[in-house]
Amino acid sequence: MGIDFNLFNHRLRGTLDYYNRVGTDLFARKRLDPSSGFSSMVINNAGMKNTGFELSLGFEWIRSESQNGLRWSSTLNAAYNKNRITYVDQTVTNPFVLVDAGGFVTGDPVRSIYSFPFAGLDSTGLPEFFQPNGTRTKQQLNTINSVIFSGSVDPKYNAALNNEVSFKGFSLNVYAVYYGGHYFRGRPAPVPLQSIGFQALPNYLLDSWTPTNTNTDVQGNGKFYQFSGAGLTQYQFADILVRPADFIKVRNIVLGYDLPRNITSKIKANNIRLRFQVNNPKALWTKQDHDYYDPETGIMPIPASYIIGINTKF
Amino acid sequence: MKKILFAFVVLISISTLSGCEKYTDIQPKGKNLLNSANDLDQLLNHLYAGGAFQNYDKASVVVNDIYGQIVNVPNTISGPNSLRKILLTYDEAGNRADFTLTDGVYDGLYLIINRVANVVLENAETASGDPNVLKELKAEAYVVRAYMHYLLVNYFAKAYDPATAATDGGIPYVTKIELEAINSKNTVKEVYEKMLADIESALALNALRAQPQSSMRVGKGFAYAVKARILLSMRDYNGVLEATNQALAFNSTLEDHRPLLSLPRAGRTPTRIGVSAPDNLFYAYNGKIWPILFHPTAEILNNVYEPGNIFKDSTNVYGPSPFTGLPGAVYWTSASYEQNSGGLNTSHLYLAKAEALIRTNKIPEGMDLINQIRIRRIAPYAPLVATTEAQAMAHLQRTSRIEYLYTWYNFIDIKRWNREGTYPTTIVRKVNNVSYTLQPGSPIWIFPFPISATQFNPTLTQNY
Repeated sequence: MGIDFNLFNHRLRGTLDYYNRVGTDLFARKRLDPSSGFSSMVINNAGMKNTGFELSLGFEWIRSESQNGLRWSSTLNAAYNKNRITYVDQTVTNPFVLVDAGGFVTGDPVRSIYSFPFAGLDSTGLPEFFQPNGTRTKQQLNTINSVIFSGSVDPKYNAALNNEVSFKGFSLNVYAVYYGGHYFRGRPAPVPLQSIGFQALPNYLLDSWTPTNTNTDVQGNGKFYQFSGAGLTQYQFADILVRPADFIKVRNIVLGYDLPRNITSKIKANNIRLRFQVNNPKALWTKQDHDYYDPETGIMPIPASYIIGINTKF
Repeated sequence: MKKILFAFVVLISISTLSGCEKYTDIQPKGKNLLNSANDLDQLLNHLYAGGAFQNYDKASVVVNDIYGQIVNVPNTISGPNSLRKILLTYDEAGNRADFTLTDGVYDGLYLIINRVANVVLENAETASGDPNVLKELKAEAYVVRAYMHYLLVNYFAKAYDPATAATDGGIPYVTKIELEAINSKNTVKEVYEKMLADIESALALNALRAQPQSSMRVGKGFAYAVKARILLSMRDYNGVLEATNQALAFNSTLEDHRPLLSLPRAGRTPTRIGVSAPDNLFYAYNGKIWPILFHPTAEILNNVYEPGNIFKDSTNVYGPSPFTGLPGAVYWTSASYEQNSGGLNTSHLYLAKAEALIRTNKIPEGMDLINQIRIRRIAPYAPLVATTEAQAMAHLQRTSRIEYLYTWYNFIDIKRWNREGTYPTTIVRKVNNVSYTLQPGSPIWIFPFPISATQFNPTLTQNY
């Protein structure tokens, strides 16, 4: 379902679409009573629903009749998508498999993050987790209902904005994007170190648990080190390590200048264009400060690059 | 011309787009389609190994043969609740079913029943090939199906008791591959009747070989041996005598430990090549080179092993263990003894026959069979004698406990004797001066059906 529109003397153009896509009988694994000789089979046994909007807008702020006049136009593409599994046989019954490798759960998006609910450190500095009944434990969480949903890996919202300004041979183009509503494991688990040698050390050590520094989620290190067993394995998948991945980034900025004809004709060129381009500068905005990983790549940010160019046509 | 072409296209469209079948009719090329004797023969070359025959972590721990493979016993007992802790401490209140999400024995044995035995039995009727070969394959499949159900029913249900078998819950006896059907649980009596019927069907075909193609294929000896084990559980001792005599006609070679004694002490390593050992009737195992790293319990070492046992006292097979956290612990160090932990050996025949003789008041004859095993196990050897059935049964129980150590059969036999009640065993496990007791009638003797099965099969109520 959608509308196309064209308003204010063609200054504003746009389309708006709404969709509600229901998939049924998708291929998925169904578990069987193992006395049949098979523990599962792949059949048409899943449903999925995608609901969303797609918006596309173009607006000319300043128009000009002449070749060298001032122009400014913008285009915006934005989309919202809600994805969820309407039915599936939940084949993953081991909580560690669900948090580590993932799995399909009815009611959640297809690509979801699952984690263990972290309950903080206890009075001796060992990590504790919430059991389904709300009590704290240092032991391994064995049941699948001790795992909680921590959001989807896929963005719910995305938008791209392009601005173009040109005046007397100069042009400036700025292209920016926004992704939001999704999550990632944005913080590595603060693994405690028993012996601290002369080497590069992680900075979370500065906030280690000590009998006097108890308001922290980093376990004790060095002389306060304790083996935490199941707790450490579970910490890798703690909910506090999952962070919102929303960000706005400028993809590129292009500044160009077309040399006037009277100059280009001197070297018998039809056209000379000078160009300065910046790709992937630092993120403009992130929902949460990411000291560890880039929210887009999950690891290092894409390095920024600067390009200077001259195009000529003879 | 155009018209003809058009009609042709329409015709093709109709014939190819005429709706989807539920299952594809296209026969893939180069795949085993299970429709010839040769295909089915290949299917029966199954590797009877792995989790289907799992005993080291459950059955052998319950019967107090071992603590497990590498298990720190005090830490497990003082640690968080786990299936291993429940079994080590015989904690009847512990909810074992909650810890049994899946069970390798349940999944694995039913996999063999369906994907090997039932496929062969269903397809042999219509398969192409030599009818005599197909008859042999069918006979093998009947025996395989009966034997796997025998292990299952002894693992998940009460031992057979003629008085209550008709009402005791058993296991599903699965004779047909139906993926979406519910295989209803049968009673213990029904399961035993169906096992016997399968063995009789196999024997009636009169197509099994005297010597099987390999130790993982079925010959006449194994068919009669399975029959003997079923009848032994059903307390039909005359039937056991008859079946064991028939089986022993095909293979009566016992493993002999005496040749080890002629080697220098340092070179005495028990060796058994699993697939080609002459005493195999049917070879099936959990781990190929097991019992390596198995830790016998203090009770086995101190109370059950007879003095002079060649393996224990005259070889280096046991070495001190740092793993269990218990003083004086030892473990099996040899990697060259490939034990038949899930199948049957000739010694099963000797001991079944001995029990049948003893129970039918032929005590000297029964003791003679026990001594035939002992003479190959113990040095210096002196024959055991018994004048009463009870004495003879005590000797039999002790000999078989070591003969079956690390296999399925101590669990099956002690459970059987406990259910009968004449020669019960109350198992006491002492760990750091704390005694844990397993009463003969304890529910621990019956393993819970896994959640992966009970959630789909409402007839699978637990049997304890």
